[in-house]
Parts: sequence; structure tokens; C-alpha cells
Amino acid sequence: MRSEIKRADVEAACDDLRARSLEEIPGDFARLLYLASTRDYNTGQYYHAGLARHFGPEVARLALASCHKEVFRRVLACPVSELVNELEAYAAYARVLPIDFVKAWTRLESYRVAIPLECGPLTARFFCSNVMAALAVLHSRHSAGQRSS
Amino acid sequence: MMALIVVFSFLVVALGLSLFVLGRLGRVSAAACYSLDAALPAEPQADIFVSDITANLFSSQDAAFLAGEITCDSVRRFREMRTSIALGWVRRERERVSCLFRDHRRNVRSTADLSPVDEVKVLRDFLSFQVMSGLLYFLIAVRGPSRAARLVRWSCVAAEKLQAIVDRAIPASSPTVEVIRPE
Repeated sequence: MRSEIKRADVEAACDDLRARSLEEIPGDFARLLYLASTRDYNTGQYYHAGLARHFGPEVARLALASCHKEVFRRVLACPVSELVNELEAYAAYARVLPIDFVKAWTRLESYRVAIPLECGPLTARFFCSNVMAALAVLHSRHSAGQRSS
Repeated sequence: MMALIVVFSFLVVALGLSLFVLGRLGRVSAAACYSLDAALPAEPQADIFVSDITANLFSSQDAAFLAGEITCDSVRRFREMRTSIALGWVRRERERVSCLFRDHRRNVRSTADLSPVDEVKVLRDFLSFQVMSGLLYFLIAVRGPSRAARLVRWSCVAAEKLQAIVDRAIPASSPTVEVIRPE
């Protein structure tokens, strides 16, 4: 009974998170980074003050983890051509020049923080290779744009 | 008849040897190109997202898109990476099915009412999966993952069949294996 109530609570928290926070963010890649940023890098535990106040810290943690996995699945299923658009949308949302964004991300490999804890090495390599390819496309497009202007 | 058996044995040994060599090469080249594996957990069971990558991994869509966007060298590196990941996918599937077969063998020892027909089917399907996944590994290593999409579907069906027979043979004690189906 207790687990049933908890599951319903987690689903309600997920719905709330999708409606209030994730809907406002343009694109799945930006959503993925937002959800990854709610995770403590030392413990791997998620925390969201508003969600924890409404649903309790444990339910909020489970809802954030569940939404993180859900968005990560969508990004994995997305072809590189779409991922390029997602990265462009993210750079615009973060108000960074695409060329600066590409340089920083290629050097720092910041995309690795977006990987959920349950992800194994095979899927992580697949995700990273797709992001690296999308960054290479962005780099090629924007350096060609800079040369022509 | 004798000649046929000799030829078949030779083919099996040759396939086994080539798989072993390709497996070593695949591991070495993957490790040389990327050092990501060292930083991530190494348990294959922990990866809950493998089924989400299967369709894209064996599709030619991404490589075709990249060919029109980036340099040939970058496309080549992307293809190499995809090949290495696809070989890892096959190794992972073989490990899973071998694990299923090992568990089944262990369970069989403690089960009184066994159906010999089912046991023969388990062995037949296990061997056919091994041969098919061996061919798949070879094909991916030689021609790349996008050329192997059909064989991936067949080997997934073989793994699924094996799982179904094992479940039917010893329902209570059967361990579950995640069968990955490309969309």
C-alpha cells in the first residue's frame, strides 16, 4: 500500500515538474542539463527546493531521477541532425555565442555531466559520440559562417 | 559425410579464432580512441538504456547526415566509434545470453521433471544464437554496424526464443534477461 501511494506521489511530482519547470525550457537537451544540474555531484542525489516543499524530499528526488532518465532516453533516440538543432537551441537559451559554446564544450566535455547514474559505459559512449559529432557539425557551420562574413 | 564434418569443424574453429582476434582488436582500438570507460561503472547489468540506442546504433542515417556536414576524417572517426560501440553491444548480448544459459544449466541440475525436448531446444537455440552473433560481430567489424541491421534483428529474435524456452522449461527459477529489440 505504502509503495502504491509513493508511486502515485512520484507521478504527481513528475507531472508537476514537467508542467512547471520542463515546459518552460526549450528542447530536450536543455531540459537534460537542467535536470542533471539538480543533482549533487558528490552524492549523485537530486534535490529541488520547490518540489521537496510540495511533495517531500524523497518523492522529489525520485521524480527528478525519473524525469532525468525519461529525457535522457529521448535524447539517445534522437538522430545527430536533430541533436545539432537541440545544441543550437541550448546555446541560444544559455545566451552563449555558438562558436564559444562549441569551443568550451569540446575542451571541457561538459556534456558528460548530463549522463544519469544508471547509464552504463556503452550507452555513455554512444551519447558522447553523438554529442561530439553534433558539436563538430556546429563548429563546421559556424566557422564557415565566420569565414564568409 | 566425413568430409562435411571436417569442413564444418574447420569453419567453427576458424570463426571462433577470428572472433577472438577481432574481439581483442575491438577492445584495443576502443581503449586507444576514448578513455571514457575507465571513468564509468563497468557492470553491464547497470545499463538500463541499451535498448534506447539500438535503433540509432545500427542505422545509417547519422553517418549519411555527417558526410554532408563535416570533413571526411571526422566522419571516418565517427564511423570507427560507432563500429566500436556496436561491437561492444554484441559482446554484451553474448555475455547476457551465456549468463542465461549458465543459469539454466545450474537450475537444470536441481530440477526433477525435465523435458528432454525443451533441453534440446535450449541447446539448439543457444548454439544458433552463438553462431548468429558471431557472424554479426564479424560483419560489423568488416562492414560497419549499418550493414548489419537485419542480422541484429535475427539475433534479437534468437535471444528472445531462447529466453522463452528457458522460461517455459523452468518457470520458477528462471533468471530474467533483457532482450533488446531494434525498432
